[in-house]
Amino acid sequence: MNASLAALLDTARNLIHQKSGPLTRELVQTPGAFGLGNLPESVQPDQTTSLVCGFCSTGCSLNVHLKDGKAIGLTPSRNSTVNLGMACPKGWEALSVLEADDRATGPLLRKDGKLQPVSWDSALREFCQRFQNIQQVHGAESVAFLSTGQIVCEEMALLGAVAKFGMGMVHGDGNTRQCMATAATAYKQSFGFDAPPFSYADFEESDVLVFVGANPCLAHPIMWERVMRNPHSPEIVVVDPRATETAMQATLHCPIAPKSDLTLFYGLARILIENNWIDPEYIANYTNGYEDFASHVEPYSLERVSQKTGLAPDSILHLARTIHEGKRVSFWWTMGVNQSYEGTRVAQSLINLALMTGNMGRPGTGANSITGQCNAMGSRLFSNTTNLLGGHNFESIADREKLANLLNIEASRIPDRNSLAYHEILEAVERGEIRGLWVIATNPAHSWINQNRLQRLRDKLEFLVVQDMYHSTETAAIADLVLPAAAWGEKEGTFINSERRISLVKKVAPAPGQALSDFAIFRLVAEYWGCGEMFAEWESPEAVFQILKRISAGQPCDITGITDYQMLDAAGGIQWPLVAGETLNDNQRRLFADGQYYHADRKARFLCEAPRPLPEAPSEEFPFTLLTGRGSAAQWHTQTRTSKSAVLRKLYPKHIFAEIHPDDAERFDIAGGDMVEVRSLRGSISVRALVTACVQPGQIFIPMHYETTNQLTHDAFDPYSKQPSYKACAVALRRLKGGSR
Amino acid sequence: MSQTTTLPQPTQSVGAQSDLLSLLLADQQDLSAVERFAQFEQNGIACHASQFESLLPITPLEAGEQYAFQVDLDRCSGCKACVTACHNLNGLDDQEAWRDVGLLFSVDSDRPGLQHVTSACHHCVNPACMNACPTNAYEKDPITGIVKHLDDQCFGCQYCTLACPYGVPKYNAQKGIVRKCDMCSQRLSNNEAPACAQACPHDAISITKVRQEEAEKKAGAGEFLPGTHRPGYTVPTTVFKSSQLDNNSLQRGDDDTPEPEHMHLPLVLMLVLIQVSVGAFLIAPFATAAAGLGDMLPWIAAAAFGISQAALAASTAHLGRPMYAFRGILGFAHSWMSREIVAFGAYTSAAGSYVASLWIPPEWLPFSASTLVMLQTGLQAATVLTGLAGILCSVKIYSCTERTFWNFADTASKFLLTAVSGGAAFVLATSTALSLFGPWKTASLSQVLPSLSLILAISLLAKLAIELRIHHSNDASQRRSAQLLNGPLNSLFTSRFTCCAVAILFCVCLLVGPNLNNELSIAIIATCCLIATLLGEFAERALFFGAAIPLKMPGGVL
Repeated sequence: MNASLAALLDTARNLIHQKSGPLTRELVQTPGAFGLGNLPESVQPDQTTSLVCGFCSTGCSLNVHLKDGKAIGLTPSRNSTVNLGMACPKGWEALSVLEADDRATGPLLRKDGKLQPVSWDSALREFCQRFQNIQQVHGAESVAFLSTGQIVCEEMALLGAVAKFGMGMVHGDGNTRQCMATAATAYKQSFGFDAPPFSYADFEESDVLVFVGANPCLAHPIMWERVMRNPHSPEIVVVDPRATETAMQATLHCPIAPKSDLTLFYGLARILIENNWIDPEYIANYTNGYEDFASHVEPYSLERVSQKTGLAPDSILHLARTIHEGKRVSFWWTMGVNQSYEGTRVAQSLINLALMTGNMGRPGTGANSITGQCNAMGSRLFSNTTNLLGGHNFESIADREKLANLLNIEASRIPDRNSLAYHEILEAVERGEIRGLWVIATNPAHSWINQNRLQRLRDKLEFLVVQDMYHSTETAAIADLVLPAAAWGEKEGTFINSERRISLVKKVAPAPGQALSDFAIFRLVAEYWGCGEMFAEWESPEAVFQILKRISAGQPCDITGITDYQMLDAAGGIQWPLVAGETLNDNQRRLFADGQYYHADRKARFLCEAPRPLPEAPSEEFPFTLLTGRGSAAQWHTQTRTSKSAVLRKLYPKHIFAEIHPDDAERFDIAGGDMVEVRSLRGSISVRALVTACVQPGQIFIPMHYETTNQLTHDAFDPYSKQPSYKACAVALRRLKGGSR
Repeated sequence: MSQTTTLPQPTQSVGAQSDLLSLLLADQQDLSAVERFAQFEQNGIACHASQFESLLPITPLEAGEQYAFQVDLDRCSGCKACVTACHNLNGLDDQEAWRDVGLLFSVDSDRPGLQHVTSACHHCVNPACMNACPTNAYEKDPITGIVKHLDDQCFGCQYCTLACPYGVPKYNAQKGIVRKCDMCSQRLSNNEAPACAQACPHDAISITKVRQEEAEKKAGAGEFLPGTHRPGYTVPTTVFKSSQLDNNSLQRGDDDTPEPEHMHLPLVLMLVLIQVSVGAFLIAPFATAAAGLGDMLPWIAAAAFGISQAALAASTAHLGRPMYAFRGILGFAHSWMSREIVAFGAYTSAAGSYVASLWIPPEWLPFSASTLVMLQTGLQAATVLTGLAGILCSVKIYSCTERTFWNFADTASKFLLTAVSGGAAFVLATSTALSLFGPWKTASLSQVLPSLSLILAISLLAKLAIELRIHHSNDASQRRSAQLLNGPLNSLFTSRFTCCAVAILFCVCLLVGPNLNNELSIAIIATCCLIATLLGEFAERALFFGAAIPLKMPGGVL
């Protein structure tokens, strides 16, 4: 009786003031296992495993929480040497983007103008028949592929091998052309091999860090973490036309005129030489071409540099002195340098500064390119596109024979010439020379420069195959055949990050429907094409890893010292090189401590060239320079994945916008929030105005993540790296009628 | 250079030579491969060790102190990992997160710059959410000072989401309740840092101790963060540290692009209808008496009572968990919403008794007719007074939030004029309609029609004048409201004025129209006038919610 009375009272009390109950219990935390700290019951794992993130090139280790064998959540790995327990929003949301309604779950074939579901068997037959028909009429090289920096090395290698050695293609390139080609070319020419020399520890060990055309606060927040942890109160110099997040954290921001960087760095070199702020010993022992370089920079007087860059002479002198006074100076660049019509020389102008001041090979130094995509470095080494697998040369008979032996194939299977670059492949499509295109894990209909020109190519293609994890990308929407791919986290393999670290991707989530890993798709293509026998050894990603090891032997990227996936896993990723027999004592290694470069003479080269005018300078009709770049840390490239996370969507601007300087806004009668038209010679788009002093007068900034941005960009290219120059073109501005929205 | 590569000879027809396809499809679904790795932990040990202890205060709280978030803005790079960590580590729904990151940027050419601002609940010394809550679903922990929300106590009225000047409590429509940041108090009690603090790559977020008295002093002096509401309102405790954030030309990321707020349809219906009913109870007795048609009054009063009850029914539809509606009065001591509920409860009783007194045959009653008249007069007065008290509470509900658009004078004028105009229109329509029937067929309304029409027209004009004033305001928030009214809310804004104009036109017809002797025409015109008035008022009230610029932390670019 008493008990039921108490229960009744309790119910009554709860009706009036309920302090706990089912809603409260939903969020009650219990101390988590696996060192995870408190977690709500609903997200408590029963197993955990670490894998490398699949967005950017930082290569953060993510600790995936599993329940009953499936991923239910993740936290950044606490003990990772890369990310020290942290991740950016994309990493935190890496699993949630896998679950989306528009995941491709089965092959789709265009019939009667519409993409319609077909079986894998018919899709693969169609794939082979259509491409073979094209090749039979127009030659083997009339079919090409465009690949990516987003799939694992093993898949890149298998794709490159199947396409070129099996299917007879000559031309294939990757979207890494859009981000890293310049750095790769610059390193190759200067150092003799595409070898970013640094480890992330250098961020913490420098006393002067110079960031050029880079906004790591947004683009690489976890690398910025390392800068913030630098205990030396470093000087942080940011060279960027815009007052970016990174510029705000700098001790010196140099807001240079767009594309005046080459002049600035030649001018700095001249000041260093004039004041004898150089390291003659290093120059003499480890470099070539210094004399020519010194005379090349002679005409870059302070006055000239100041005039060209818009920087005050004092500020330039201060920068030179800062570099001189630094004991451990490091130079870092990203897309502001790479995506330029003269990017290779700009990158090399930074390499030159590091070489001439002896800031190479020591902790906290280096001329360091921060990579873009999670596996851009893998693509540079193992995609069989710009170079023959493992940094070899298609044009060298010796290399072709070496590879043929290693792979147990006929040397005649290996093309004896280099592939066309991305834009050259598209031009060949325009000319009708390439008629079949296979696009893998990239979205050129959104991302390629001068988008409208690319859109017009569609009709020239007899067969366009798009292999992607979503059937909704702008490129998949115009495909003839869509092949559904498993995503990061649904398959195995390795990525190589910015600091040359090879890390594991693991399979922790089931692929939706009949989606297959890119690896499986490439195997099936080989099988259906009729060349499956050639790739008998390439039966699993791990088997391919062993092949890649074999190929790397004796190359600068030698990884024969890495036994297998288990070793990579246990070490938390391993940087190349690791030669067989070498023990891994230090897992944060940098290159060139001995000053030995990869050219035949073991010396680095000074390379320089006179700056060229902007390919499209502002004019009376198009008075503004359009800058493009990353908009937020929550957006990844074309937003194919990041737009699938409800949380990430909250974190970035929904609508495309343009940053406009207050003076320009006043001149054009534009108020913040107004809809404005931005027009270039190639297209015109409407965007919302964001009036801010963060851009300079005469400049407009539009983030690259929105579908229409690349309708404006100008398809100019660096002559050496063939990388598109996304960062500067001429545009006009006009307020749209109706004013605000 | 010659092309040495030759095409592989395809088999006669392409196709698989084995069952590779089915093998690979099966393999794709097999997740067991992960188990072969060393970094695969199956038998994790519960970890009680401190996580990120350096982000927590070293010494315990003393009397007069509380915990507070500390944000070192110089270390906030705008990556927003804190938001995703809050979402993930707290097991929240869809896009739910209790931390937000906004943007301040400079429009001053001489000082270009920007600053991302991460913020969660400020665990105020005087929390507006707690004061507003009608169910006492908020508690401020007497020791830690953490403002906690009792999820199971909440009935989902969302008033706290309007009251908080920082946009902190967020409504979870699926669950029908509000949820908010509790500073990860469960983690804190385990000596662990909150999720957001743990996840910040740059250690920008930490927990500190603040003296509440000092917080009050600072808030009184207006020290908090540029671009936010006067801190004296709630005394927020979050400490924002910055070496460069003194720029007066800072703009908030979402300043130029206000977006319409939720219009809360049930509240629109409730506010308008209940105000109309109060107006009707005020006007009907005088109007019927003046026309000598006292026996119409019971009918009109009954109808007015009917709409007041419809209004109250509509209001429960606003609740996320209407079965707990009875909890609404618990916050009477501090919540204007509780007071509104009590006042309109009293109003219902008074109005119900009043209507009953009008309908009960006098012979059933044990007292004289004159006593009955006195009783009726008393009850009418009680009805009107409780109704006005309810309307005043409604006004306070909104004006208390300190949103400029909801300032007391404007809100009170709008609500009272809705009562007057709606009441007049209601009496006008009901009396003219009743005059079409039996006993009142021959009645003459000429005594009251002009005055009612005039009252209606004048009150509507007065209301329009008040509503249009916003377009001449220099206040930044009012300008943004005006921007919404001219922009995304323009069609509703136009409809509102059209309805009003039509109602006034009908009034003019009733005043000077040629068919004043034709009862049917008059009734039709009066009914149309009521419909136009009500539609106009519904639109006005929807705009009242839609165009109210919320007080909040700086938002991001939209």
